[in-house]
Amino acid sequence: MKFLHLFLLGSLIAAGCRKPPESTPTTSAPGSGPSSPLAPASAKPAGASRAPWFTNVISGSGLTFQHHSGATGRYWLPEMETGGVGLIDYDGDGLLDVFCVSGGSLDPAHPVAPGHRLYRNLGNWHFTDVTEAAGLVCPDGYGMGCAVGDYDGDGRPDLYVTQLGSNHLYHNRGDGTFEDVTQAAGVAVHSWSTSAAFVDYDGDGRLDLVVVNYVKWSPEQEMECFSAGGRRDYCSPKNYHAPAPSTLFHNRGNGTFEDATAAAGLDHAYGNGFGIATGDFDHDGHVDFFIANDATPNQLWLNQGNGRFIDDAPLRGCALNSMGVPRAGMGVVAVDLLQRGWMDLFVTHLTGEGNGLFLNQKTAFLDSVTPDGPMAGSFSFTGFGTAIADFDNDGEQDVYVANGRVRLGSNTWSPQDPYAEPNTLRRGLGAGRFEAVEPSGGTAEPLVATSRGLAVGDLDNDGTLDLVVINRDGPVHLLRNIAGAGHRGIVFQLAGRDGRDVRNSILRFESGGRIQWRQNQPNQGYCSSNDPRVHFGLGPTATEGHLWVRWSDGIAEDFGVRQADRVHAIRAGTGQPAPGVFGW
Amino acid sequence: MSNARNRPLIQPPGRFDRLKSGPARWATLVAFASLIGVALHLTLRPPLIPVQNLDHPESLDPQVRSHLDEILALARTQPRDSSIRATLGIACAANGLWTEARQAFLDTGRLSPGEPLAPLYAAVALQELSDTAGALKEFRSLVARFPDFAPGWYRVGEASLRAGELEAAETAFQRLTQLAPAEWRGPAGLGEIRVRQGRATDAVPLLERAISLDRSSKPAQYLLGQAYRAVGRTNEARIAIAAGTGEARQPMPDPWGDAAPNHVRALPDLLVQADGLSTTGRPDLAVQLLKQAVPFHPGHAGLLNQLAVALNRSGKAAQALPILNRLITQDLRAVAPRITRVYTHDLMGNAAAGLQDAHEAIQLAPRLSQAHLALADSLLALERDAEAVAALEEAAKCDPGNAEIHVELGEILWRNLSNKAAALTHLRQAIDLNPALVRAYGLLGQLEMELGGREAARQAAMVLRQLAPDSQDRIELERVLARP
Repeated sequence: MKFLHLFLLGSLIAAGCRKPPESTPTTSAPGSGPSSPLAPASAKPAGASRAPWFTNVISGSGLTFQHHSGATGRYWLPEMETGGVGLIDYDGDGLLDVFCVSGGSLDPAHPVAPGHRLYRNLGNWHFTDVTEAAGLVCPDGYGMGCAVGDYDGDGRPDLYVTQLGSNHLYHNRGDGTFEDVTQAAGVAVHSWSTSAAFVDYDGDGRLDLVVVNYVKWSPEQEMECFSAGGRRDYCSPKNYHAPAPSTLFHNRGNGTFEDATAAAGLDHAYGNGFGIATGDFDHDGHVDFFIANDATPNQLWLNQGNGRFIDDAPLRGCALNSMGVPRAGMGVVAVDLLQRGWMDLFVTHLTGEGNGLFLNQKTAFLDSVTPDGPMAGSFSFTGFGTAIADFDNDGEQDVYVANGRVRLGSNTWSPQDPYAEPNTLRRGLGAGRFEAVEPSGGTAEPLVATSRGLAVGDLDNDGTLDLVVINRDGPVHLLRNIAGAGHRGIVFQLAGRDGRDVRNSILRFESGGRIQWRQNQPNQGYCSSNDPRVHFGLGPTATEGHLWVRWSDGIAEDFGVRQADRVHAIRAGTGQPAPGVFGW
Repeated sequence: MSNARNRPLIQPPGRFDRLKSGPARWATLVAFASLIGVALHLTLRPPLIPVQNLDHPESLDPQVRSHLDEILALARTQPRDSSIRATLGIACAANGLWTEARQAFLDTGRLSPGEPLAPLYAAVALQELSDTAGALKEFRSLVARFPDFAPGWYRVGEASLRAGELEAAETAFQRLTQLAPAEWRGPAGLGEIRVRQGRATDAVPLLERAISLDRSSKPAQYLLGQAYRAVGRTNEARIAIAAGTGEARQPMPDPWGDAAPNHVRALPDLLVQADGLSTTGRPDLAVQLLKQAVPFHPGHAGLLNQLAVALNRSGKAAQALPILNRLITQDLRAVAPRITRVYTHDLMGNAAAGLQDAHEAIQLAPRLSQAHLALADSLLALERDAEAVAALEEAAKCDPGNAEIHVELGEILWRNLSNKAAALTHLRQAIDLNPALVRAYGLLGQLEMELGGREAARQAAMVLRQLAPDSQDRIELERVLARP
């Protein structure tokens, strides 16, 4: 008699009123599109010790969203991971609107609609719920997150909602309403999707879609898990032994997509996927994908330029920590932390692991740990959503992390919610050095909640970056930036030659003798979608800066000197050729 | 009171004069010495430190609570016994109760100030409670008190590395290397510092030395892979990285750490421990461990299924069957016990029943690779090898990253179905998915030899020499290669 050699069983078991016009189009430089002045930022002396950076302006704002995880004491895994947010100017009035993703119900016997809501930005920090009018009442599934992108190139941002169950693609009709085109477009993933990103991976000028999936989960697979000492608690994804591959949809250009996962090779390696960051990490001219996995090795999908991808994370040193052990990857951002034109990866992790910085050393990544790095002080927290951006407009990027436990801890921050933690903010000092901002999270009093996704963007067009944070089973934090006043900011809105949404372009901005680098890709962090525009802080003295853009097709252009305190529209093909500027 | 005040402060000389000679002198001296002994005993014996209570014991896993209650009771009867207090700390730590563990270790340190493990583990508890800066401070204080205590220097090195303090880490690992030259963690720590400094060339010999000291040291393998990659030795890097993936760096062993597994009582950890035991050839111990847990969790389906798995593996499938029958009767949609029962049936020589269970499991969970693997097992038992291959291919579709399925496919296609070309493809795919899969190289090498690919076989043997020089796969392949 013959039997398989595999030992496989033990694991199975354990078993939206009208908004005021805020732009005055002007032309300011050769090859540019129009620019519009930014509204003056509210006053706060930047950099003042212990002065708050943000004010939570949720009260009276009309942004009445309440997240629901559907938790009923059964400790089902999805209850602990739900919650994302997207910034989308769906009505094209120049003000970012807010789409909040809720969980819903996991009980097959008592299905309820997940309860995602769209809030229209009326200006002056007032919002109104337009979900029904916009046709965004999601009928089914359990919500996780969203990604915003103009997949059909009609100049209007569309919305992809990730869920446990079926995902939904909402096409923006341009009249303030959306149409659910999921089936027609062929992008319904019947899995447990978390983060997603619109990206043009094959350089055909159309946005394709990468969807990250977490665990092949069903209520039948649930089991009893316990935290330290045997207290009933949520399980680790490792208990399910059912990681799910990501899904890649190729945009055919006719409003439909084809599943290119297998053809691209993305089914060859996978883990419990949570976050995605995209960018040309190896400077070969093709956009790559980094998938942050929870408790399983990460993937770095290097684009071979022929429709195929190869996971090079193990060899490039970003699959695991420096000891060869997978961490609990949650949110991830691709960011040039050292401002030298190479994209690094900042990944949020579980308590006791510390957030991680994979520093891009061109041919490989270094799991960098320094006493004053962006990860310092994070061992006590479980990080989810994150944003690295220049919040105080001083020319150095800062780090904001939305924290919230997934398992009970030995101490509690909130008597109401044992999983709640304060969010954290670290101020950038330059050269990869940071210092903690106190009070924690940069608000006058720390905001303690079980935070998940966050989105960063200039909600009031004052040239400073604001935040929206989703909290499990709680209201959102609507954080108005008061740190950037006194310093100047500048914002660029990029578009392709035909006005299409373009992604993963590299911006080189020189101001006051300092060069800063950014990438335009709003779909990153944790289950969330940021302001699609690109922001730079200029500090207290500079009034202008010089912009070069390397588009994702490799063409570099010089867009000349641009004035601060404005939103500049930058269109591909309208700048001066700038070969060599991006010769890294 | 007035009498006392009037009592003379100095004894009259005559009473002392009597001690100068005779038996009375000796009796008095003995009594005096006894008094000194008692005084010394009272002064030097451990202080009386009250035994701590557990916070919210009602919320603890019942087996954890029972175990800790026993140790607490013992500690209360002997409150000056440092070893019992240390056991309490170890037991709390083994079940993740780090706040309680820290208190116990601190108490142990007060009871036994000369014991370096007490402050070491108190600091470890602090580290586990996420106070990494506090822990590092305590580790440094520990090595200041006990400068020749190698595990202390190891902890200083590790904690400094994790805090990004490379200079401090360098000092600590150098000292560790001096104190414990046979300890792989010294050169491995120094190697990691070199990797972080971008000095891969210097890292390579250090990490190779670490591995020569202990070939099973996975973190050193992983770091060596990173160093190899940086110096352009890409093929070796791939293998070393794959070989070094997935195991947390085990701290330097010591008697307290060695004792910790015996105190694990929290159910999820027990299940992991039992799984480890039965997959490493000790299923009887797994059965024993799980049976002890059943009275505390009598209706726990996961525990009972795991017990059935362990019983299968220990050759007691007949005992597993009634447990699985009960689980399936209780929940007709339960997939896991049904899959376990497939193997039970197969082991009991009733593969037809196993086949039926496997088909039902696939109906319940069509995307679950384990269900297809179970089907393959039954089909193999029935010697329906071609169908087993089809089931394995389905399993591979459900779990495309699983290299071991391709090894199974390769072996069956080769050995049972003589389809060497297809076997070769699967074995190569297995290695592509996991470049550290020892068995795949062994099989591939032998198959290449059969196909006349001596050079390819030699290359497989070379990889095995790097990966697993002591493995049976390497020995067997070398034997085949030695033939003319």
